[in-house]
Amino acid sequence: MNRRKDKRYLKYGRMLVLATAILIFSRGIPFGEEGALLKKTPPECQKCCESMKPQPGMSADDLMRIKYYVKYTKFARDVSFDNVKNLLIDKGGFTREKDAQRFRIILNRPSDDLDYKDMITLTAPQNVKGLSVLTWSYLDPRKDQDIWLWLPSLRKVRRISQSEADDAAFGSDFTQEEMTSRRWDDETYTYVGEKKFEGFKSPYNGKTYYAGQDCYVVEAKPKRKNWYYSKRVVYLHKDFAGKIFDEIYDPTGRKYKVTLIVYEYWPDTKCIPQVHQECHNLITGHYTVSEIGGIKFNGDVDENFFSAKTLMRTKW
Amino acid sequence: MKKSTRILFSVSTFLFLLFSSSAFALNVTDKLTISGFIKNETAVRLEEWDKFMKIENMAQLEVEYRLTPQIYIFGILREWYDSAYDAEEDWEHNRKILGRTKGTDWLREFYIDYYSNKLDIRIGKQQVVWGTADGVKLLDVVCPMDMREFVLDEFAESRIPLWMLKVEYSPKVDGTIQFLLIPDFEANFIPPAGSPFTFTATANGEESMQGLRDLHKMFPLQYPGFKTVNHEPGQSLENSKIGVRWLDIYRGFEYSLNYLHGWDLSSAVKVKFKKTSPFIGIPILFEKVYGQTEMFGGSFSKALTSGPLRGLTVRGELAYIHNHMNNYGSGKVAKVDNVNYVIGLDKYVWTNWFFSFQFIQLISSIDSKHGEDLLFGPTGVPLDKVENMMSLKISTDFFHERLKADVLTMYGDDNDWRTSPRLEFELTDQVTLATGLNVFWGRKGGLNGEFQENDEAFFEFKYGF
Repeated sequence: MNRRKDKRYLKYGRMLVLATAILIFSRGIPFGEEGALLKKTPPECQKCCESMKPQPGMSADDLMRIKYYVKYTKFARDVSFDNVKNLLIDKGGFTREKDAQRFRIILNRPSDDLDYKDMITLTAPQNVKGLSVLTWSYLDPRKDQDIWLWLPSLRKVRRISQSEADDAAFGSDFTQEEMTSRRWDDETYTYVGEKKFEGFKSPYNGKTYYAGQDCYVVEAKPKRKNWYYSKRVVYLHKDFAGKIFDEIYDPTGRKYKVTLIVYEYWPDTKCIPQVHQECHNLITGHYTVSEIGGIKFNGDVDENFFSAKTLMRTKW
Repeated sequence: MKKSTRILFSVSTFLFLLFSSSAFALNVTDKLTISGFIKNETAVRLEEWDKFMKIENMAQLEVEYRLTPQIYIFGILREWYDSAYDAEEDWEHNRKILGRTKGTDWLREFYIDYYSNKLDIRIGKQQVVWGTADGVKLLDVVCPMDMREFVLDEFAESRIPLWMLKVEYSPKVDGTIQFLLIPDFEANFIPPAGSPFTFTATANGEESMQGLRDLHKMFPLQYPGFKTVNHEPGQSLENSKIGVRWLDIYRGFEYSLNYLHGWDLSSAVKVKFKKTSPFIGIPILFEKVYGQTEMFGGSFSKALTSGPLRGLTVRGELAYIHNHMNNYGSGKVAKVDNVNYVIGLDKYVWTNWFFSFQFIQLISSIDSKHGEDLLFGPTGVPLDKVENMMSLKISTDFFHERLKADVLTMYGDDNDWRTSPRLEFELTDQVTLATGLNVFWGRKGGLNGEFQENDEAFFEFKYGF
């Protein structure tokens, strides 16, 4: 009796699967990129950038607004970084490498408060391959990010809260907030003045970056009390207000860390991608270098991509 | 071969594998990616340091080929050999069953993927994982589990992949419906008697059977012997398992609704007796029986991103299982319903110190039938109608995530404990070393307590490429 009933369930189940499959295909769900749904024409970079250009006499607050606009590539609808090489180098030169891919879509959507969605997947070495982090950032500065983590060792997606923002991001010298979560509202700003940047010589490749570059200098102090830094001195590129360098001071007022960000300027689209980053801990001598390649703006990445489903596609 | 010679042979083989692995160049073209690892996991009993629980040497290749930007072929090939079955007389007779890769298990996973914005299809041998609980499997019952190492192995390792069709369709952003059609059946693998983690019920069952065999030899007329029959469902479309899951996020609240229908992954043992007097019977037939079960369940997670509890993640999952076969009395089988759920709280307490707490409750619809107790599967002791468990996992890292540390502690309400601290060190990008302990406490009839003499220290070496 029960066996017969069980078979009936099985039959109904199969019919349900079949009916849904027919429904899906009969509605013409497209295969391949050509037919992908939700295609939207991305905005040209230059249209956005023109209204976010630094001008002499701008306040520190406005300059820093543009800085975050550049940092989070808000001049584009979406961006993908196919080849991000992160090198963790200690004082003695011992180097570890973690490679990654990164994708971001800018939503700036008040209806559900979403600012942007971001996905990072580690691609090497083998022991961390597949580890993926999906992050949703909100327009409301009081809201933390929502984060999903794909854990290869469990083959599971785990929802996590934003970890403490002073934690190292992927073991690097950048903190979580420096890498992904710091927002304009997190600090107060004081305009220091205009200055020619003296340049930064990288111990990694021996190159000197931005020597003699005209900059706006802003002092930023965290609103959070008893935080891991007391202030930072930020050098903003005079042409587009992207942060090229900052000096970070610990709570005792000692300079303990510096970061360097190198940009490219793409004249045809007027996009300003970050292509090289360094973060040096002056106390321990440990530093991190990120080489960012395979950059593509407005590649029409669908919002569906930034979902737990995509994390579950991971094979490792 | 002497024990020491065997160990030396195993170590030499492993070292040979390690150093010859340079022949495996990381072969990457724009379409083909090959990666993999070789690994040694060795565990010894804490009370007898020369007693090996495992000396597992494993080689794995992961191959991905991109046919088109939407279609991928992926496979994991794996071979392993556990020398503990050569080194230890206690496990030696299980060498053929547990000591190496069996049958087609070398093909760990193999599938074809189709991706598009709204529709994903994966067809082939694969793992499907439901739920989010740590250290326990409530919703995660799509694939069976290999329990040769109890629950100590990573679930991704102990899960047995199945041949199946998985279709996922997203009618809305963040909302996905998943269909599973699984014509493949494999039951949970329960280690036989005489292996490092034999369940008490299995050991007792084997002992009783051996007693019956001995009696049959001595008194063949009075004790006619017995048969064993395994009614494992065949691998056919008729026996397919079917699953459906709806996964959605509503204003930051993520939830899933799950349904699974098919043969139970665990069996019960029905015993037929021949009566020798009105009150005494002799077992003549042992039947492993499997039931068709229905599972209805769901899960949720919510990260609190503002307010006084900011930073806390609350998650949970619940599974209602209808018609689970459970043993009771002496070799009798009852159909019971189970409600299992877990509530979890996760939080980074200090910078990179992650705390994850879970409360788990396993509720059985009945705990006795016809006046006889239902039995707890692994140990064969009377089953509590309600089992309460708790777990706490603490993890952190040091030296730019080069050294990772975590400890998972599980507690069952009959003072049944397990704690598993683990340290992992990244020597280079390719080489990781790990060590740790698995320590059990409790009474013999408890899930963990039954292994209280199996406290072990383990060491792992992994070379990835």
